[in-house]
Amino acid sequence: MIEFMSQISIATLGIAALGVAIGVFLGALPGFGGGASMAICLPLALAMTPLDSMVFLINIYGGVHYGGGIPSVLLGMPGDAGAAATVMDGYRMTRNGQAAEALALTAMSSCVAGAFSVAAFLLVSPILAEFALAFGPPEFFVLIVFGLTVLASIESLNVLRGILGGLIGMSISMVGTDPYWAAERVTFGLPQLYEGVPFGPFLLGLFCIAQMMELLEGGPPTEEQEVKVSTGLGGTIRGMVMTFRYYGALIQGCFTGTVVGALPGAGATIAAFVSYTIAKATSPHPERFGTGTPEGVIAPEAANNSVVGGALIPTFTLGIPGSGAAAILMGVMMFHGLRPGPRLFLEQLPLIQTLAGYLLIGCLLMAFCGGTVAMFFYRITRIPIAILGPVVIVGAAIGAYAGRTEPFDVGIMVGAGLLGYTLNRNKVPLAGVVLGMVLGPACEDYLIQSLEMSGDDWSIFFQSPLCLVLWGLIALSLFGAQMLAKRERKLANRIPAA
Amino acid sequence: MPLSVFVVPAIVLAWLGTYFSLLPPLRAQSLMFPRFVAWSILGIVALLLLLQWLRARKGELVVPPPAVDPKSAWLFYGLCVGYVALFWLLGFVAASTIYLIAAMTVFPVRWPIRIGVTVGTVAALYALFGGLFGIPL
Repeated sequence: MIEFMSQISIATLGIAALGVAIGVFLGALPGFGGGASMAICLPLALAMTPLDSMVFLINIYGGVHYGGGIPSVLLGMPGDAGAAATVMDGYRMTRNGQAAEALALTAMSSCVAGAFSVAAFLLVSPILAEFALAFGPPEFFVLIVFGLTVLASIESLNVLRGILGGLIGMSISMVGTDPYWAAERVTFGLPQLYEGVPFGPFLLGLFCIAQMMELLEGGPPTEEQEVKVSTGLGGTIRGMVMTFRYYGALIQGCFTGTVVGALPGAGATIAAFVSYTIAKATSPHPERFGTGTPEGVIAPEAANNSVVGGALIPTFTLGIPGSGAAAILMGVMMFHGLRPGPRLFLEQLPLIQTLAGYLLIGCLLMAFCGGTVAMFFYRITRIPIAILGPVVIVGAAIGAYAGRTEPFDVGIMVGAGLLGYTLNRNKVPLAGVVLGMVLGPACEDYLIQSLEMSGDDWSIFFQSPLCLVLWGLIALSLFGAQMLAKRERKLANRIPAA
Repeated sequence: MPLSVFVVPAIVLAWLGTYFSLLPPLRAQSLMFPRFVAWSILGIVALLLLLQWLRARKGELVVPPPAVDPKSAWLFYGLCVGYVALFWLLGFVAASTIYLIAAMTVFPVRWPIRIGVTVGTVAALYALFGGLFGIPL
């Protein structure tokens, strides 16, 4: 701490603030994930000192994860895949007139989670890194199966529909070249599909167009039509305080995000969905999930932000970048002559401690930034749907196009919109489709790798103690979902009777 | 059973039909996982239909979906499809201008607001993505 206080500089603080602001801004734009946002700012980062460049990039990464939650809450359109779980209750809160509260919840839980994960990075890095190393392909495969059991609890009354959504997502993720022979699969001969169905445009269409079509089902919109909202300042303060009232969901989200983030390749999407499931399973009021409960916003937002600190653990201690964003960070470290790996903590401890100090400040800045956003941006919900709908579509279209500068991707977005609307009308949860798309390729990779390792012996998935623990968790999760469904059915039967 | 029950199965069957017809030339390792997913989807859809049928036979009340007027939603979607075609043919600026004007004419918004929103949105997005990020629009 004394080390940090002696090295504090206004310029680096300014760089941290700039990183947070850029991250929040880019995260709120459709189609910009952590990796893309960091890549855009790379030329700027390379011109800085090693400490400044890392402070800048990691704060962008944290800001993007928070920023992605803003369109999720206001428009029902996740800024990135990690924010897809926030839509379920965040957007519902907005429709219930609590946009400012929901935005403040996301800001405060992001701030606390970010600080928690940075502390974990500093204090328990070696232990968590060792734990992450125990995961081989079979363990990762079982972890992904555990992630898929989330589908059962997204819609506990409609478990089958949840699983169907996940499988549809997985089948779409199989389009492209296969990981074994690099053969084309269901590409219709289109070169634009060789790398698979582009995820960003698909996500934008699935949520954004489907959401707008659903809003328009009530009849033609008028210029005066708007959503009822609470006031900015009061709602923001209420939301910030409310975050700590649901401390269980907050702490759980922080733990889940940090641990999942430390696993190379897992990422914010899995963390957010797993955290949402655990929060629902452990809540005294699981029936309120999906109707706009604060717990349903806090748990995924805390998880997807604590992934940031978690992802630093394998990057710094093992030299294994767990995600695209972490790989960019590692590249910048190497550019500055720093060698990520087990010796980094021994050789550069003061630098890492100073970095962690600035990251904690970045988290506080995020809360401030988030509070400001909550106070003013909730007004977006006051824009009539007749204006908001077309403007959102144009914004989403440019977000879809920007990734590869392919007009084809705008077509994918519109096609996904039709699928999303149809599935929504038939009660198939869209969050399941997203999760299936995210987990599908990794699931196939790890399955093939594991079977190659074992010579097609399926018992490899039951051999290590870690696999057995994960199977136990899967059984608990499915059993819990069934119990939850029973409880919800009972409640649903009781309400009309009353 | 209402016809709407068959909407999702019909989509799924159309998708899987395409899927199965395009997969066969591939080798076993490339096929294993997609086939597993496809058969699982078929199994779940069959189970869902069976459950619906059993519930209908038991006379269980099927909660009808809320009454909606899908005309506006489909009109909006038609505009989106038109926008994609224009984007392909004319590029972002022209397509977005035409689309925004058209959408705010179909769902009436006063002319000054219509023009202001169109010009403001297109200019802001062009400046941000084209100017700042250097994306060719």
